[in-house]
Amino acid sequence: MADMNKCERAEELVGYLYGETTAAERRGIEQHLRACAACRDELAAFGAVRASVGEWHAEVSARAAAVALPAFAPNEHPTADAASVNVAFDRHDAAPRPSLRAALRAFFTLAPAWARAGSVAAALALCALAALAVVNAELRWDDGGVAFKTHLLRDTNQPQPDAPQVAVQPAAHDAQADVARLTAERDAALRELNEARAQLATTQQSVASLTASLSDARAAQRQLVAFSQRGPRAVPASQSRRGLTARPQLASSEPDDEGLRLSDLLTEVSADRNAPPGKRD
Amino acid sequence: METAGTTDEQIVERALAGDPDAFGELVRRWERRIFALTYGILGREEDARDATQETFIAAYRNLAYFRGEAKVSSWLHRIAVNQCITRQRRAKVRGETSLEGQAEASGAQFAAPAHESPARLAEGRERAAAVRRAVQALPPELREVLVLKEFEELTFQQIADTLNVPLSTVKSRLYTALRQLRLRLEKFSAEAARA
Repeated sequence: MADMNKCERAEELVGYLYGETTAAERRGIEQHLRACAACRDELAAFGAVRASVGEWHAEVSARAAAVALPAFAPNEHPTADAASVNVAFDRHDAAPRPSLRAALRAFFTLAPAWARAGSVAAALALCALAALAVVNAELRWDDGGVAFKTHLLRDTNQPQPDAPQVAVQPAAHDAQADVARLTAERDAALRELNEARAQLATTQQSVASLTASLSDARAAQRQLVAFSQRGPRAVPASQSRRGLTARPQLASSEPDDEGLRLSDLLTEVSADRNAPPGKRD
Repeated sequence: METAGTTDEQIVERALAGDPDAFGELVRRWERRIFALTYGILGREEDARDATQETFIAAYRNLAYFRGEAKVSSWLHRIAVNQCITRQRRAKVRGETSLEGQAEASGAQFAAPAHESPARLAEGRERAAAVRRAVQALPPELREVLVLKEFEELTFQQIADTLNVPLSTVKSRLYTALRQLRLRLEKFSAEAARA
């Protein structure tokens, strides 16, 4: 194996090798070659390389002489705006134009992997879209969920005049029935919710009415208690508590007590409650 | 190039003057050499054929801009090398594999002289295949300089003009190309001797 020529004048060998030096340069290099073994060796090796390349050139030239080249057939005369000149080679003796299959094969051979994968994916997507278009597919997304159906099977299930009717339950119809059932259930649940809300409102009104009645009853009780304490003391407390329902009648039957004020009644009730149990009556 | 007393420049003048056959004459005069040049750079016959066609199509389209400041041959060389560079860039973008194997396969079609002995023919084919592989293994910028020098025998200055690079760059690239070829061919010879 040849060692690398470290001589700083090595590149000057090229000019000498191809005879492109001045007379002075040639004399200088020849003088250098007498003293530099590395350059002498390299110059000889370069000569052998040139001989090998020359043999290869002879082969290429022989091939060029034999190769079939198409005839040049310009269709227009070159002008100043010749960039648009229609120029073509007569390809009658050239390779035939490749077929579509050959062009596709060439594409899948030459194109990088990502381009091939992308082309296949795009082709599959187009086929899928075309198939969906043919079957007239419909995709719906609402509160009931996602629904997918095609109209191809529905049309084929229409009763034909001459064909016997066959009960067909395709998957698309099952999905449609499920959607209808779920919608009905949702509507029923909404109705029940509304009814419950109405019942709640009625109940709240009843509670309010009862609360008002209770307040009235308590006020009447307080009036009766006051009346019993200001009126005839003969009525025992136990009796007055037992005869709550009769006391309004007594109050209404005694016009002398109509001037009794509510503040007085409250004062008396309060004193009665604060009194010791033994002195309350 | 001058054939039958007519120079390339005169043919171009005739083409520009409206002679419909003139440019075809220029094509016939140069197409084999341009094919050899593009084959040497690209290493594949189909690519070389296409590059040759594209070279003359581009030349015809730009014929009106040819001012005669350079020789027609230099002009064609420049166009051909540019076509090769463009094709190599496209191949690189497409991620194509090395041209070496395909070049070797197409090289098997080369016609061999009938008077050579079978052993010598086989040796010559192996040697040619080794040179072809070694040349195709060179970086494109080195291969262009080598082919322009060895195939077209252009001067350093003509190569510099064709490639639009400094003269020193041409010399440096050619030196590097020869050194790499030497290493590869000596390696091939050593392997052949062991086998």
